[in-house]
Amino acid sequence: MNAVISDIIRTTKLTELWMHLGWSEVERRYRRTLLGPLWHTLTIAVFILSMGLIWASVLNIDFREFVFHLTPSLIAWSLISSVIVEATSVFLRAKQTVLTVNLPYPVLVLGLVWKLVISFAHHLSLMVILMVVYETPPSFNQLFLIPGLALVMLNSVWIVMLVGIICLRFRDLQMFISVAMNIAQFVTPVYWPVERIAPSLGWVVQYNPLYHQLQLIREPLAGRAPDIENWLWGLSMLAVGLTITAVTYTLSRKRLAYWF
Amino acid sequence: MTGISLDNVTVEFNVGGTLNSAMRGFSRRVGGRFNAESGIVRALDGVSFNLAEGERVGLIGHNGAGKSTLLRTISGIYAPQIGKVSTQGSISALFSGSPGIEPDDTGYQNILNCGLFLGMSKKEIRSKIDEIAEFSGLGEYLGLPVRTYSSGMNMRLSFSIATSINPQILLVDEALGTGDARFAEKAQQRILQLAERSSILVMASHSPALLKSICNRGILLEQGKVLHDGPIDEVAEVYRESIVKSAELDGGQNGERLLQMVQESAQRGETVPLHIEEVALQHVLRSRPDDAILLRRLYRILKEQNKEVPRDIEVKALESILSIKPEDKATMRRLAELKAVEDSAADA
Repeated sequence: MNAVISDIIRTTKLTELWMHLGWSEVERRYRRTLLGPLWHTLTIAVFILSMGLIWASVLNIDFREFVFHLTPSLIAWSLISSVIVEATSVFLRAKQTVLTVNLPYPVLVLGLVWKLVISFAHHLSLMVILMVVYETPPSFNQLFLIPGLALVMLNSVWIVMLVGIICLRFRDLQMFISVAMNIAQFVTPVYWPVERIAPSLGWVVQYNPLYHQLQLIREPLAGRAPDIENWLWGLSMLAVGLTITAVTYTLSRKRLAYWF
Repeated sequence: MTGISLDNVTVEFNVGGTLNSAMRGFSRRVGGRFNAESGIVRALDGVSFNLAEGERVGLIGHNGAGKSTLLRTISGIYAPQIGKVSTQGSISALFSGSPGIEPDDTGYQNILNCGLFLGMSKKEIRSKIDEIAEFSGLGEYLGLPVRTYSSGMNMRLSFSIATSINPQILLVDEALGTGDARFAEKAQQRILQLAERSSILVMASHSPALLKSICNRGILLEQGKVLHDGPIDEVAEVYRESIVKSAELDGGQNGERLLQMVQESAQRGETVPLHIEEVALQHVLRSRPDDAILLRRLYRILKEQNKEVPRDIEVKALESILSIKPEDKATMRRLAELKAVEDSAADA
């Protein structure tokens, strides 16, 4: 327990380090490229355009309406799924570092979360472009993005920590999780409108924590306020998740270095 | 008050799930104490000692004796399963490899990456960057990505960053092993300077000569246990004897290691007892029977000790001397004599 508390105190003192970790990783990934981090944004843009054109025609819905649904959905989903997928290797990738310096593990967690926030900020430009093209005025509801994103990020901290620890111990989970996230993107109402699901299957959405995380970001982006239900889910996840992670970290702290 | 205290420290690695039987045999030879049934390697076994201010400790032992594990345990990377480690004072460690090194970043960027991990602030790093750059001697290369560096250059960069801080406790693991001789000497000077400023130095190496030139206390590790703890000269001597003994038991690897140790000591201007060198040479010659340099050296050592030289060794040694100095009359005569004896023996 003492080691965990001292880790947390040391992590707050190492803020400069984990912010640098996040920034430099974004920078590094796109060094010597023309568009830099906007490449990822461009991928999402192309995806939205092509999917928008085809699906709007196949499903016989309005293109503009569909794109206004798809863009906030994909921006939000890309953040939520990257958190989980990249968490699987957050510690494994840092093997050399962890074995050469006595480092509080949360530093690596915050570095990753910070990097994903920076990428997310780049993707926001898509929303701006869309609103300019269709001359849509900004809405006050979009300010909900600030608390919504904050809550999702706080949840991401414990998710990355927990997933990171478990994947360090059980390497098979790394593969399992990336497959599971592929399925999750279709089970969660990312692409399809949530009101179209049959009432008998409503629970698939209602009890899906990823759905509530998604709503906390997607709704403000689309100019709507998230439901109170979404906030309650987000806050409960935070309380339960932090507790489980604190217990897991306390129990495994001494063993972590041996699992590399 | 700076200090390190280890009480009955035991560190075990569970490798059972990942090793097949062939690797088990291998791991037994490499080091630690391996229990094949449970798959557990005991890397440190009941290690206890106290280090006080002003002590410069040389950790000595074969590969896999537990030196690196011990340093990592002191630095807090590994938490022992049994026993207790307590340290007072800021710790900096110089291990093989450095934290935060990114191959695609330039040398300068990596000074920042690595320095932050070592606990420096950006401001501190900026104020030290010129000094680090100068000591590394890498010059313009610091503007190039680290992936283009040779392993020696990498080591120089890491070493320069890690030694730019002033810790109270300094842990060093074989850092001087790589790189060219000139840098190794510079590095040794730097370690000495740092050791003067830090209050405790713990340095691991399998070169007793190096440790003798830096440390005042020695701890000999063998299979994770403290075999000997005392003044460095005494411990180095015990280690040297243990190598001679193991070289006598099985030639091969231990012979090579012994010879390497002898040569290192000689480079540092130390005199090594001739009979030790003789044992080393004889074992190494068993696997490399035609190595001319070793043959000549053995021949000379035997002569100096007034020992009898086996004829086949003398013939080979003299022949190789003649190939260098074909005009040497005395050697020619002696060789002819030996050959004559051989021929008459064959005739008879």
